[in-house]
Amino acid sequence: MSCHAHEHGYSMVRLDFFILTGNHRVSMADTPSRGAVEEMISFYSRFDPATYLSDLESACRRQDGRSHKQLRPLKLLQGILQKSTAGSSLAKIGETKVLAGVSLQVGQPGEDSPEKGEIGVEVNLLPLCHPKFSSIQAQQEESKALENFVQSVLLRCNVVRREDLCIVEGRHVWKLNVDLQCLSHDGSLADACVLSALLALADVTLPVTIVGTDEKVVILHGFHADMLLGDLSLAEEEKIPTRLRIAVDCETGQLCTLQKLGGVSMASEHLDSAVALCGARQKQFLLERDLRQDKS
Amino acid sequence: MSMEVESPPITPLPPSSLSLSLPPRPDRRLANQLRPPMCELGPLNRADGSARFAQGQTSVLAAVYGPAAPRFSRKERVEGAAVEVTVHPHYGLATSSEKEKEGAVKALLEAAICLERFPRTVIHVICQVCEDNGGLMACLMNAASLAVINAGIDMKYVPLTVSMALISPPSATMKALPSLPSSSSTTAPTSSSTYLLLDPINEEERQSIATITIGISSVDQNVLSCQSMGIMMPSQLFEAIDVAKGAAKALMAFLRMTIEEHSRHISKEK
Repeated sequence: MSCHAHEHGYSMVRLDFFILTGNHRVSMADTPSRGAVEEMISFYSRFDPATYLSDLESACRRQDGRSHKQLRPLKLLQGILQKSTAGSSLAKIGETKVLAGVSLQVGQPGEDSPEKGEIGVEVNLLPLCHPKFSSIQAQQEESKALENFVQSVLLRCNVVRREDLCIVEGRHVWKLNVDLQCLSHDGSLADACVLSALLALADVTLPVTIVGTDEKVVILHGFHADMLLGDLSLAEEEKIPTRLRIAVDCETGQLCTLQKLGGVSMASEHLDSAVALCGARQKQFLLERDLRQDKS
Repeated sequence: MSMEVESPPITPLPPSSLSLSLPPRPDRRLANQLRPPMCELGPLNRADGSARFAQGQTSVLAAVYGPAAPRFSRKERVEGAAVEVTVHPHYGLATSSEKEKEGAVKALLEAAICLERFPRTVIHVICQVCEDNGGLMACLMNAASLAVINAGIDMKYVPLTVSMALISPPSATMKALPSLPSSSSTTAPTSSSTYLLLDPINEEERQSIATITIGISSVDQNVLSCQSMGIMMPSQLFEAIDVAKGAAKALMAFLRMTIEEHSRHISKEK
């Protein structure tokens, strides 16, 4: 592998069988495998992040060929693990895949809420989904944050009414355990987790009562150089520090949560357009849902 | 070396006509009144920087150690300093909710501190929650920012954080009142019976539909951080942002006064 400065000022990295130039044209002698191309692009973005980001600003295409506000395709499957779980689902946002399973237990309610059931969330981030999770510390940090987020959305944002989970008030309630397994991480992990948890819960038929869910969609946006980027992929998530995570209700468009942690300050109108962009994800979700309902 | 500064309840904005029809809050504040902030700079003499920030009965003590050499070389970042935050709850062991708070404070400080001035170092921020009566996230962020200022670490701006709650009073009489026009009018009919409370206490947070914590930059008055949890219309969030900007101005005036007093105090002692 050799590396030298091109006369036009782009740095050129020459790997074994292909050359990548500064304006993203990849010419290859033999077609390399998909993994090799991605590794090369991630090397390029780590090697020269300033050029990568400035290319983002000038060109209208992002690294994976999307335009600024284009979202990744959404695929939702329900009821895939019928034997072992009460409810299950698989959510795919682009390449990010999260599997959810809901298991049931009957238990005693808490003292201050005798008529409400409980929902527990557990998130498993395996090294399978991303090599950074091979250390237990990295796994635990991120999985705890995700567990917290998914649980807050499920409980605080009227997704499931805990009163529905009551069997005998004060004595027996349903305790649902939502188990989320991340199979592949390409950005927007929290979104996929919430979606799959939601669908898995909707898939559950309790022997006594039926769990009704209000559907929410979550989306992660980025903000760089006064530009809003919809639905960040992993490479962008790692590069762009200003990130917005927004959850909206599918039917009413009400905001469930908006989290902006860190990064540069944003004016209200950018936040406004970010919330408006959630409409596209809502449409995707409703389309998927109608497709599933047509099939069943 | 430490100094306490207190002030009476701050009213950042004139009370809007809608808030007058609310039942009084447990501590007799108006809907848009902050609790009196209290700030003590440099209470810990071993730490590089420390601050105690309190609003009413919510109080946080933050200490900053750094920029220092990291214990493990894998924590070194060549491009700039690494920020590590620890939050200790006021009772019990740290749980995943403390982890979430740590992540939020870390993200705020990483954006605010000029990290590139201190490459290959670690800045430790340790926050101890002394009392918790609502608005804890905002108090944590303010205390951490003040401790970083006290440590003399360069920052691009001062992040000022306020917390708010959206409540819906359950009494039927609220809906019978004629809805008075407000400057930021919301068209959805349900929102006429929901009110925004600035700086809620625990009791108000528990009964709220949604809680919102917003961090505003002192330099350009734009939103630095925002965490909202609970159902609301997007227009209500933007109304909350406007209220937060007003409250942030009041907080900034208070902080400026505090820091000037503190530096005058130090120069007198010398």
